[in-house]
Amino acid sequence: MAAKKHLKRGTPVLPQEIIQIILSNLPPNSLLRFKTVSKSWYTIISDPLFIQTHLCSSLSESNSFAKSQDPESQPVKLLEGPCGEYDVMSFCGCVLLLVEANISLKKRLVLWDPCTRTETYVWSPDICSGRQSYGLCYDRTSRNFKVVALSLETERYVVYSSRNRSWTKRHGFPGSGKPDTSAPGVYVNGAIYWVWRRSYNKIVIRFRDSTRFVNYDPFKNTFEEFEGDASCYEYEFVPYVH
Amino acid sequence: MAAETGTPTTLTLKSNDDELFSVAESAAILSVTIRNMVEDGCAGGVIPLDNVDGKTLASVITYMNGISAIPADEEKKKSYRDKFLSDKDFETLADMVLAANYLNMSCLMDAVSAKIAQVMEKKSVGWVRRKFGIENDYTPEEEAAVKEEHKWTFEGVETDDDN
Repeated sequence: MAAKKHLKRGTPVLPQEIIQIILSNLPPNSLLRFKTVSKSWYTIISDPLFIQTHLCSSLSESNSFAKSQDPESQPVKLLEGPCGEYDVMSFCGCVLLLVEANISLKKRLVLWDPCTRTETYVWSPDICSGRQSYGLCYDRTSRNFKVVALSLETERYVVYSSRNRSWTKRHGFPGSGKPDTSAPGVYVNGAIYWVWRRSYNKIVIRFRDSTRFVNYDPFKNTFEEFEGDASCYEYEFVPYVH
Repeated sequence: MAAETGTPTTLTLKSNDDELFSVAESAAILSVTIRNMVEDGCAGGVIPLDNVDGKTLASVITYMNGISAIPADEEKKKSYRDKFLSDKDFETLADMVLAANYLNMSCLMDAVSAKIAQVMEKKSVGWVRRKFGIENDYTPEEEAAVKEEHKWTFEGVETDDDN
């Protein structure tokens, strides 16, 4: 094994496992292009385990959209998105949650990944009359994206799993009283946070993975499960990364 | 030139083209492969490294000495690694990634893999095939179909006239 195989120009031949490590450092755009290199590269790049690992490492980096809003980074290029009129509700890593901009009860939601330009269409759940609020997160345990839809009027919520392709009704709407805003949830560090106003107070609630909602105290960095009445905090802020 | 009294503090490494290198043991044990040899008591004489040539080994030793001279400051270590790799061409990086893998040096392995990826990022498919020595095993029809699937990823690719 001492003799090393070399190509004409002096580049050593790299074994498959090293090529995989190198590829795992590339952004999605380059990876998709390099599927054209050869059949074996196509197989490596299309492997579900490879994609999973790549997704997890890119989610643990600082938020990709925060990066693209950095004035020193490249300007964001305009892309052709899914057909129709949509509002961007929430994002998680590279995936955006779009909600159809109309007033009908049944709306279309789209999970859109601009990096791979793939989109998944989902019909809004049946719980919804009146105002809704959405949040999107990635559940590392079950390895899929979850959309949380809160019906603010009926005080119910449902969770969509991208793996099961279905909505599940959940119990235990966070807190008491009605929030005055239907602002979407923000995904930070593996959880969705909402900042809600309830009459004169502001409260922060958190939804993590598949667990229940909790009340979150950003000053003490503690969480409390909702049991009946939620305690209220007075905040003037948005969720932050710690 | 290993000091023979007590524990040796200098090791002698031999490349596969028979070059000899002296290196402080404290720097050399960044390589888990070398550390294991030292712990097994094989480090008394010369340590043969059959998968690394002299040119690459010299470079790896420069890295070992440089990085072990930096105290535990991840920020400084990172900037040393970036600077160390900044002027290396693709062939050298490929030799280094193989050496880092063989010597089991995870910090160098991660840094070189990331650097190679950074070099490749905007390159064409043809460039990658040439540099990695990969034969195109698609038929023209298959290649066109795969390309069509992700057509937009071919925008903004660098031209191939550089290294």
